[in-house]
Amino acid sequence: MTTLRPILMVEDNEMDLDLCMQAFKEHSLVNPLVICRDGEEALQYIDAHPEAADPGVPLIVLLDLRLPKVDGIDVLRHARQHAVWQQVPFIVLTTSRQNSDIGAAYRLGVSSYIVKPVDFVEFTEVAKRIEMYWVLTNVPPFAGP
Amino acid sequence: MNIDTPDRVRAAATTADEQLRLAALYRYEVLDTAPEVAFDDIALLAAHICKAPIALVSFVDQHRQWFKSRIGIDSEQTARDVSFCTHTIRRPDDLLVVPDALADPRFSDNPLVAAGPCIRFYAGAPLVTPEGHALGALCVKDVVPRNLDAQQQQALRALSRQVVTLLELRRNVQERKRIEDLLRAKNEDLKTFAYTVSHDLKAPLRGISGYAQELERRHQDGLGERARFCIQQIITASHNLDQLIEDLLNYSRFVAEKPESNEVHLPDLIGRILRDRSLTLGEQGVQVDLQLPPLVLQTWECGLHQVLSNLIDNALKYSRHARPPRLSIQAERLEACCRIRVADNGIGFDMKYHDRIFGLFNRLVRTSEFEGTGAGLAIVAKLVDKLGGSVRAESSLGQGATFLIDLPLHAPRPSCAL
Repeated sequence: MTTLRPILMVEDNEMDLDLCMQAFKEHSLVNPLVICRDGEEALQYIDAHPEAADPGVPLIVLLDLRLPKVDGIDVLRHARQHAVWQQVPFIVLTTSRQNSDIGAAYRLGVSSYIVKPVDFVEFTEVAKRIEMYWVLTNVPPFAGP
Repeated sequence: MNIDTPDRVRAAATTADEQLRLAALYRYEVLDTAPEVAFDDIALLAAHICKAPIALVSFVDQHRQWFKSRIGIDSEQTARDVSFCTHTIRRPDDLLVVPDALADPRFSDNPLVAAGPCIRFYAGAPLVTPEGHALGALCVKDVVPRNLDAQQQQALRALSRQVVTLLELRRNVQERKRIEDLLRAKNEDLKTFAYTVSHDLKAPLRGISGYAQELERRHQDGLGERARFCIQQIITASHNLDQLIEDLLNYSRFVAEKPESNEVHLPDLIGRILRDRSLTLGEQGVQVDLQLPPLVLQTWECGLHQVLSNLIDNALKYSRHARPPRLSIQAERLEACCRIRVADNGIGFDMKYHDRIFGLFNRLVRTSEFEGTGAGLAIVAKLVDKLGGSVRAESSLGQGATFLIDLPLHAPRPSCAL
């Protein structure tokens, strides 16, 4: 039996994190969730799991753009320069519709950019869609560990 | 004061005025600047008209005299104590003419006269500001003793006035550039501030809304009717706050936005706006009446699109209980402008509130009756202003409302762009 790859969440806001985990729970997501609380932790995690065979390399990354210590964009940039991590789908979850952020994110090859809705029901829909597409439907770039 | 007055007395007499004079000179920000053709041309004219080999636009600083324009000499400045112009500025109402410097006790031992360039003739017209400060002089010099005829003197005076006019214009332009830069910077600040604030306000709002909704969805057991009502209210209030933040962000974005100039075909624009609302128009059975000549305006398309969208949305919202709702849009070309009318047969309003309705977040109706935060017309007013036009409304309670926009036929001057 192959172990499920985790979903990596890079989020500093406690409430957003808690609500997101609730949303995934509601949809019975079974993949383990790995949480990084700031950009620095995210960079360390990336560097600690460099091989494709490493079970710690996630299926998808949910990345908040505004993070303490190291910004989301910089985490994205770091991942894109990595042979293995550049193939991991990154979904940016943020409130920022600011054009420069969107442009920078897409230029760095983010797979999707989602604005966090205030309405929780809407958010669970977003979480469900993430799960339906990225976790269940999308064929990952490399096989499970 | 005459030429027999001792030097020290003359020197002392200028001190009181001197501080003010220097301050005036520095305000023009002309010292040590690069040469400018406009000033050089005046020196050229002075030299030609007075038939002199040397002409200078000179400014008298605290310890030196500095030349903005110079014909016939190389140095950019000389010490004040050997300058002729420092004497010229003492008599702002008069030309200073020195027909033979060697014969004049003020200048006979001057190193520029007794040696070096051997200046024998000087004629200078003081450069006097509108406030009466003499900043320097427009002067001509020669190496032989001579004079100026009446016409040449008149010309020199006229040209000196031109130099002052140039200084004034130049200062106005610089001031304007400074203000524009400041405004541009403040606009950018406002944009960044608005985005940051809305982002930071939304985070706890997501928490409030999220947890209230979780209570509502999954923890209803054991909650009484009142408790469930409280939760509902929390959810409603947080949605309202969310909308307010969005509208505030929108409003401040429009405040900071820089208009562009596009060619806009009015009927096309309105057609697009209505097509985007075709679902609502159909559902509410709205009768649309359009009277639009094929007008093409030179204006800011994005801004006009937002203005007309907001007015049309308002018309539809407030007339939705009418049977049937009627929306009428007219445009006509008047002498100096284009007038667009957006009219509905909705609830209308009391004209005594006419000015208030354009205020940000000002509303005349309850949110329970009609949704909205009251940002729509504030944005219209702000944008119409940027478009160089004006907006007003005509209405009476229960009799619908008409909004009239007057737009200039050509895009406004860049100064309105900020």
